[in-house]
Amino acid sequence: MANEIYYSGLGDVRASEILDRELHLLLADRASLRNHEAVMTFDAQPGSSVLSIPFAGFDGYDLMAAVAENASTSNTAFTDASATLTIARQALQYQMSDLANMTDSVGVNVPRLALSMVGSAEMRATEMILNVADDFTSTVGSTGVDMSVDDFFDAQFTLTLANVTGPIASALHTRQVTDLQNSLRAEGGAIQFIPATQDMLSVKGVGFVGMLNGVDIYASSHVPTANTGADRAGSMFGRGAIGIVEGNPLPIVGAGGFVFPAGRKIMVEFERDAGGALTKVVGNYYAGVAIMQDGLGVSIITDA
Amino acid sequence: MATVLPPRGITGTVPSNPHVAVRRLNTDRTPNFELQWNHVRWDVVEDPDEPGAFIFLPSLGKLKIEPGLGAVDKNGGTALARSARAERGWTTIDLRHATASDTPDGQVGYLRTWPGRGGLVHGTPWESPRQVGNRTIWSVDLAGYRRWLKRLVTDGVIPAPDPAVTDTLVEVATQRVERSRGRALANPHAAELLRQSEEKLAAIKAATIPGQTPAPKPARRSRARKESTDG
Repeated sequence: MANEIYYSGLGDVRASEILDRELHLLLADRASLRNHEAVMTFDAQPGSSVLSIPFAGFDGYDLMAAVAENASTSNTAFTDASATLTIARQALQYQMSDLANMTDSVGVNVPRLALSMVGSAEMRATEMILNVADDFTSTVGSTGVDMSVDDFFDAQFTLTLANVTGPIASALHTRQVTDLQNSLRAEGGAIQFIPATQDMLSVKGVGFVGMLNGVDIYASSHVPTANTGADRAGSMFGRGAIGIVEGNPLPIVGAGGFVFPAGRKIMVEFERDAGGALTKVVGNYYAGVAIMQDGLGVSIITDA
Repeated sequence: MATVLPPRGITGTVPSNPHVAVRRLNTDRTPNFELQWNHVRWDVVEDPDEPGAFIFLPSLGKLKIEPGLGAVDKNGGTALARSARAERGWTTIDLRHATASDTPDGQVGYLRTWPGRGGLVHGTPWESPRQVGNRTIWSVDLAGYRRWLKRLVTDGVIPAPDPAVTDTLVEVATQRVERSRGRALANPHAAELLRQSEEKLAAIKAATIPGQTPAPKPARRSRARKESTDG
């Protein structure tokens, strides 16, 4: 026997490796809180990058009081307040050569990079929300102690005591969620944890892990640390605790004649460097996040 | 134009090893910050200098200096953010309040930075990262951090908590014990949680404020012992 055709002998007609036709996503946290109804969204207004949200003590903030039939009533000081949201540019930029673009076989190319900007902006908004939610003045949990159902109840009781009504969301670090699930195993009776189903995920999005006592629970690895890294600072908040303002830039004619009409939140543009045979993909997103009413939220600080 | 060559050819140079040159943490960047205390944010922890004893320490927050975050303006200006946070009771701890003797690295100030993926990682001197493979492992000198907080309260940089705040902590812990008690009868895991809750309640009741001589509280202590043995 001789002249068998082996793979090892076909170096000129076989590639050393090929890329699978299906492109997979790298592991990352893609749980977005931006569209949850507990987060109030505002559009930036012309005139300033600072948006002041007014609050007024109407409709039951001040109560009437009994006054004698023949007595004169006195003025009550009207209560108002405001929250400040500052809008700032958030951006991401990639640059790809023509050679890299034209040899693409799996979908890593300029159009896909442009499409990816949406997810990047979405997650930036979520990161910003989580980075203000750790600073509610009300806190529950204990430093160095794992999150438990009791911490969850303490947070819910705190909101109930403050007259906070739904919708309520709880954003927890993945470590806190696993500790909570572990604690749930010891529970019985009337407590009902509803794990996320496919239908719920379709509505609530990735990161939604379930509902406990009517509170939507989201898991995110972007929940910041507390107490010099020993703990994680998750949160539970009602609608109006946190606000996000987003900018809608005026119509812009970009490079290559692309027109970005007013009203879109994320602007993705291409910038061409013909000399270097390079294409830049630039995503711009104008946003600001802040606590609007501190009493509507509680930070949950437990072991990291 | 004539090319002038060195007499014995071209001398090679030793390139720097790129894997050695780029040393950074495989973790996302984090914003610059100032530590702040708040009158109502307190926790009870074990005294780092006296094991078995418990003290009240503040649970600090961070003013994160990043445009768009918490009313920090587009240029990183913090005037609006400070004002908004001050209305909610937050007060900045000046960097100089962390002295060389407070920090593990012997440097002044409570802010440290490390190069990370996409920018600087901001932290405190009591955190120390190390890169193991592609993982960033953080070690925390919790005792050192608590010693610093204790000194801030003892020196009056952070005022002692109002009795209403400490009473609230007792109230929350008491509610937790009461919730656990019913479940503990039928559930061994809940019984363990009850024991922990009772220990926590006893700790809060026995906790002292750093720098203050504990007032004699015989009635409270006996109640704490009673609570912890009831279950």
